[in-house]
Amino acid sequence: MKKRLLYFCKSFKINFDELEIYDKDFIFGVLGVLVEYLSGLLMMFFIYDFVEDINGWSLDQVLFFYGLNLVGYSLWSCFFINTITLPYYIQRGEFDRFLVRPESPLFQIMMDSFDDDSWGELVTGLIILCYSWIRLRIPPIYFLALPIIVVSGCLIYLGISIILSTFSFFTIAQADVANITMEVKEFAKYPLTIYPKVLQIIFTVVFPIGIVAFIPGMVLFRQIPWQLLLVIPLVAIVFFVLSTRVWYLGLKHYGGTGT
Amino acid sequence: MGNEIITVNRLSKQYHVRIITEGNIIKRIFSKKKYKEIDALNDVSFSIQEGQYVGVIGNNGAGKSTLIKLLTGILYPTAGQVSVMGRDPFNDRIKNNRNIGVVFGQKTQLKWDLSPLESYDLLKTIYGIDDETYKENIKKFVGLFEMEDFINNPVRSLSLGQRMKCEIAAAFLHNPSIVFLDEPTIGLDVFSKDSILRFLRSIKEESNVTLILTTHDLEEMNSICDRLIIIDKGRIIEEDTIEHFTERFTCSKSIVFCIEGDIWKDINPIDNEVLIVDNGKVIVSNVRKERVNEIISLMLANNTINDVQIIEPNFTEMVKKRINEGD
Repeated sequence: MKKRLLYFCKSFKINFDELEIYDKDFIFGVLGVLVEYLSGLLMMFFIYDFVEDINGWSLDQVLFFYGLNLVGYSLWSCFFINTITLPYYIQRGEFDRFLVRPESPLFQIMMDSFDDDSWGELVTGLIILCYSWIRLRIPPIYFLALPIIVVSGCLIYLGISIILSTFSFFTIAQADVANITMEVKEFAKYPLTIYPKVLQIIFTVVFPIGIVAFIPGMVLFRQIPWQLLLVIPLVAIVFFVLSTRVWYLGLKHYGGTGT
Repeated sequence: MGNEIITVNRLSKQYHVRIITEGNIIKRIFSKKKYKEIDALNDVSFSIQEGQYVGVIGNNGAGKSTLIKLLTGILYPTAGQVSVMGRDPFNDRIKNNRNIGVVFGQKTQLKWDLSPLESYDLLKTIYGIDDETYKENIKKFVGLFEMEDFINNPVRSLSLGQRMKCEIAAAFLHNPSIVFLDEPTIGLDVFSKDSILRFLRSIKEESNVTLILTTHDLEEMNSICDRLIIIDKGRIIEEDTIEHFTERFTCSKSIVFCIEGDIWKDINPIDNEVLIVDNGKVIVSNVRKERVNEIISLMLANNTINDVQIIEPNFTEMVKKRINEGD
């Protein structure tokens, strides 16, 4: 564990050094992300000019869901997004190098590259979350739960990307199934209840990302018992562990077939 | 020497390969897909002793890379067992990887935008190398490979030769017991090649590292390996010490005499020996080792000799001959 932490810190530092080389790339990347989110948010303000609420949720409440989900997503996207690069490594034959080192190949892939543009998403997410937090006058005591919820969200996104990338162990051609992780975020940023039943089930049972923002929202705005918040880290951990199991099954298949 | 460090027992590896069928794309997608099994390795057994340098030779597609992938635990066998230091390299991967170093000649282990030194620092963490060993090895490798000039440059700016030196140094950084080099000198100039061979020789002198090397440069292999394994069509067709192999195949040498004047006598070719007289030169070829002394003495006794040349068939020729002989 200590070794992994050191490995993480070094990878982080290396990634920062690389920023220096591609500094313009970094600045424009972050700006691009900010503009993208700004336009999405403007749209939302615009819609709420016409309607009081959507499905019983006010603008500030929707922003709360949006921000909480985005912070968890951007943590994944900043540090662990490289899991979805697996098909490229396999196709170019670069994957084998992870298999000859005394460290989990999955962890090595995560550490191999970070995504700098996602810093923009993290900042956007935090600003939206703070804004809605203040507007809704959420009691400060809930700050204590915030890190756990956000990290759980990150873990669930990580689990989704791990499960989806496992497909590339089975297909020789590069399939971008893992990129679906990014699309999942688009659904998860609104309260679950606005979706049809099928999607609600998918986002609670199959890819449990729906619960990350939804349970806190229900606790705060619909007065369900706060103890339900504990479900979030539990589900996140179980889902993450399961996803790594699936990944290693895929790896075993890869070892059997080769390329 | 003496301990078996790698044991391979009746190892086979089959690949499942899709046959591309005829017809248009729609037809191909919906028709039943056909597969065939390809034997990359077929019932291979051998063992390698600690401290040996072993060269694996074979034509493209003979099964060399598959063998290396099985020995390093990247793939697992269809049948048979591999044991590396008593472990199964596939199922006990993490532990096994602490003791091995691997270089794939055509792929890089180093990070493109980083300098080799920064990549080494990352490897130090991954392998858990202690500070002292790390410093010592870096100093040693920088000296042996003359890397001072480029060790701080980003990998993308290095020449192929420089990069390969860095790759090989990376594989030795954690003092592995076994190092696998898959075509480490492919595409390198002679000076870089020499430098790498010097490095490997010097490592051999001072440590007990076991080296498994694949290459197409047979003379290079001849110069550093103790043993050779020749693979052809997924089977081992030859496994011997280089010394013994060379001995077996140098049974036929050629001797060239330059003679002053034009008289010569007293050589009666025996067995397969061939005698050619050409413009003041006498060439006896297909000479067995034991006969060399005899022929030279006879010639010296009866002629005035300006120059004698003994031509050994080179290693490449021997291996070619062996591969052509087949199983």
